[in-house]
Amino acid sequence: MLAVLKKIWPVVLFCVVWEIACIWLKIPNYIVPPPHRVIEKIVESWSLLYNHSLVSMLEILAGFAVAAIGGVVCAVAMVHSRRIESILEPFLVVSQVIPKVALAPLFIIWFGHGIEPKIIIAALIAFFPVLVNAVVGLRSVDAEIMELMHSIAASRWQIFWRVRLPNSLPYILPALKVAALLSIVGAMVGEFVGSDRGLGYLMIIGDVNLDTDLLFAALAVVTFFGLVLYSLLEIFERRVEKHYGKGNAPQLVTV
Amino acid sequence: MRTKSQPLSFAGDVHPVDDAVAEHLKAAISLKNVDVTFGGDAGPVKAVSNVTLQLHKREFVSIVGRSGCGKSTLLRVIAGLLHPSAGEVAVMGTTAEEARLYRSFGIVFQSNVMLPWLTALENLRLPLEIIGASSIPPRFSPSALLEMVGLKGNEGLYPRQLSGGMRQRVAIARALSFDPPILLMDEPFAAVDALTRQKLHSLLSDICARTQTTVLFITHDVYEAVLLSDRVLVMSEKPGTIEADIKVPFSRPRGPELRSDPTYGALCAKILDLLMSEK
Repeated sequence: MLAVLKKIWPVVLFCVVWEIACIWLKIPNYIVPPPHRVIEKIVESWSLLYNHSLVSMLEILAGFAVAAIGGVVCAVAMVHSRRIESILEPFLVVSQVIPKVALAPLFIIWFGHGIEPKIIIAALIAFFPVLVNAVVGLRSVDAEIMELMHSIAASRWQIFWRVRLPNSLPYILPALKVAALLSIVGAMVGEFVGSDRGLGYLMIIGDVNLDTDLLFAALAVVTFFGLVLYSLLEIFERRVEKHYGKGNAPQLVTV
Repeated sequence: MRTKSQPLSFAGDVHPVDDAVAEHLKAAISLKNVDVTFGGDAGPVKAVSNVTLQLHKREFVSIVGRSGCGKSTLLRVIAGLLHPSAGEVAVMGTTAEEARLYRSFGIVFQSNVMLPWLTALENLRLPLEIIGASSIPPRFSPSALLEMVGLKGNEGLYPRQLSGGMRQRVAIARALSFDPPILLMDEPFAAVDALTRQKLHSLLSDICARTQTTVLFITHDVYEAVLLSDRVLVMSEKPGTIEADIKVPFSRPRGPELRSDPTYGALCAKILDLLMSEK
């Protein structure tokens, strides 16, 4: 408990300052509600928030899963074959240059107001960091380890399972953290553009009705969810790090 | 000469066509007029030129030369990892490529290439797991090998928990884990400190005596080469070629007292002179 408090005391302090500022400066609720009001709102509209967050979480997790699995699979294919790499590369570059957020209206037209377009947007945004880092991780095997493997006539498959894949884990895991947060962005954007459910939808409703409390409450819930997702991945990463040894953690390739 | 149809065999199984061919096949490693040329942007570069050499079975031979003279290239040619541009390579009576497929080589590199996510014992067992169960089990079990290199009790440690010398011990044990007839070592002790190196020298001598392995040892340290080898090949640079083939007359086992032997010093000085006299 004390350890948690040690970590979050700046946040607590921030909330206290926020609360005091709202009272002193007489900031109206519809501009910035004080923290206690946000908490009240969360308690008040608990079932509403709960139902809508289920939708958002499903979109986020599904988008994240598609991005993570798709990114790694694509990376494996690209590392495996020069031809696949040369075929995929132009598409990947173009898909990277296109602002994916701007594709959201299009996906709404194509796939309707359900969760599918949100999953697609979330996956598209989160896909790239995973792909790029997985490619680097799979490729960055020490040349002498490869020679050692060849000297005992190891098959490509054996090299992949025993060397390349484990070697890429310290590269992929930090990328997954980034991907998780990006998939939240994707899902929210998708909900803003066109939806009738989800936390992003609640934020829009709060915005239109000048119900800033609701907006903040939804924001708090989605932030909390992001923190949980991030922490889980962090715990997983720490475990792997323990196995691999600290200090040789690779630099995350940013895109 | 192509010896594709030759199985992994000893000279007794081979019907000699003539003495030269027989000699070529009898040796553990035999190179004849081997050239290696790399194509570069600035035109082809000859890394190895007209190298002819032979290693007999159970012989310990060192190649000394300055850095960049092509000794490591030569090692990769012998290991079947690199094709020579010209010349013939025979290893245990077959081609280098086939010898590689027969898993005839254990390799130890300068940098200790261990997989960081595997323990010492798991790293050591990796070649065995990749090769799979063979009909003839290796003479020494992984734990016996680990004991042989003096790492008993450290099985469960990860590479980062081992010192450079310990990692190199694991690398030697790993190279021998599947009982290859030939051990190729590419400057294995260049990255460890002098004291550790001395310990590893006597360890390597002991292990070679026990396992009866043929060793090709590449180094730029003349003293090390003379201490360990039956023969020392001196390699000149640009292009790399064998300049001299020097027999080391000292009997085994060789203790550290050999270092103070004047004949040892004289032999080392002679080889150093050869290396220094190059243009």
